[in-house]
Amino acid sequence: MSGRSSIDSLRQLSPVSDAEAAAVFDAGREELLAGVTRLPLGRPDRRHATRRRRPLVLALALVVVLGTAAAAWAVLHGSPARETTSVQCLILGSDATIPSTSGDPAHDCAVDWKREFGTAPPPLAAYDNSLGGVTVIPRSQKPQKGWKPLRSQDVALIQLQDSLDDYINGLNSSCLGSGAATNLAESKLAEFGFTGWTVAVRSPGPSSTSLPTPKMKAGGKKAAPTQSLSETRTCVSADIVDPTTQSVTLIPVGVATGPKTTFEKLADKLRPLTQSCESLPAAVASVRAAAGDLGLSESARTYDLNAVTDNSLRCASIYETVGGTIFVTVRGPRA
Amino acid sequence: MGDGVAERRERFEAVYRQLYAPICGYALRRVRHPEDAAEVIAETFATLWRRFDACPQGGELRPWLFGVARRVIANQRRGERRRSALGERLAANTDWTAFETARPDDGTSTLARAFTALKESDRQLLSLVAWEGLTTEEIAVALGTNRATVRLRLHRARRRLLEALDKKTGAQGLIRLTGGEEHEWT
Repeated sequence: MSGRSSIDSLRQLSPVSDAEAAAVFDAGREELLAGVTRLPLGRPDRRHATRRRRPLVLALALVVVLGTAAAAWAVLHGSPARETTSVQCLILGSDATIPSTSGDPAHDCAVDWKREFGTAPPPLAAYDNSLGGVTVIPRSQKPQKGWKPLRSQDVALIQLQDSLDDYINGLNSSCLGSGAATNLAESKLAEFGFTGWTVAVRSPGPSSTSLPTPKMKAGGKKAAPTQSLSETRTCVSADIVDPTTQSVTLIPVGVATGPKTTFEKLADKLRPLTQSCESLPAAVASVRAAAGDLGLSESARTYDLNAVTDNSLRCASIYETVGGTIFVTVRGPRA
Repeated sequence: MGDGVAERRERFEAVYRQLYAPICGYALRRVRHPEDAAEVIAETFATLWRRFDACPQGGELRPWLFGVARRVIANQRRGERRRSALGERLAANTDWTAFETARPDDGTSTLARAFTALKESDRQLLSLVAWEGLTTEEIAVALGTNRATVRLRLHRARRRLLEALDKKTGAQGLIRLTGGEEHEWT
């Protein structure tokens, strides 16, 4: 190279253009969007704290304990934060946002902490963080200004979200058209006691900012089938559950046909289990066996298994959702 | 999910569609294997989603997201390779024909060899200018540093590239890099 060269000289070294790169990953574009927007809100996971830092952090926490009087707090009901399905766990320097499972945010964070670090966390308290979310911190720690105590999240809403996102029997279990997806959403709303909610199917296509159409009341007229693309199938596999407007918006997503992923294989294995009636311990054992067959391990964190005791149920329910990892939630009676 | 869930998702979708190609490009230009690039893309947008209410808006968002992708790649190179379900799914949908078509040349030109011989941090800076078209200010956002530092580092990087070129060709001269603003090579 000699003399004066333009930007093109170095630019031409670029291995691929944006357009070429996007073409390589075009088939998965809509699925990725749907998957990402199913992730719990908050800061990126994992664990900025390490085991090595913990002694120092524990010492600092002890200082806080000694210096702070435990304050009794009122239980808050009717908060928008209660109607969320994820929780931010801010514990001793560790910051993780996890899907809610039990409805008790402090319990969920405690389970997650133990899974991550192998020890019991300090006593925890949950707060409405005034940003529309739930944050759990050690009970000994003073909450930020504006935070309000929060005892629980809406379990029915958590179950609704899980059941819609489910890869076993939910929207992600197969390629559903608008009608089938609407039927599914309506049945789930009814199952978990949500009456008067609307179900809307967003128009397919890349123009995502259009308003969801058509809109109908639960149990009303069904939407038209989704359009099919030549190289990808359009499946209604994403959803937005919005308690504020009491609506479920279903979103068609372009899905490329390809080899089954691990979480799809796991869903296939778990599906028969949902047809039987098992107690929580039996269902958990069955899930572990199925996951083990695929080489998945809780200890290796290749999937997370959450077991929630719910003695009001006759049989255990199993949901598999996918975010940063594979989450399997089993909810059922102890015996 | 609280107030504005649908609105938040739609805002995110708009950004996602706008930045999908640039992030795919950023990743695939720096990561050799499509599977790894898919992981970078998935993790980058997952981070954007989780931080969407706190991340920069407007013109700073694009370079900020490049910065996120840069850190994801750095983690991969440090061996913190983790296959997420989202990345796995995206990789499973890789269009190999498109990848083969888009494959780079052999990189044997004089400039390519000089560029490759630079240290990673220099290549990173110069590629942000030449491939992503970032300005000095935008690079500062992407790298989480200030503009003055970027200017200095850019100056040194381009000087080292020129030195490398001189060694290979004996060429003297002025290379001009423009990407939103002009970077004079002296």
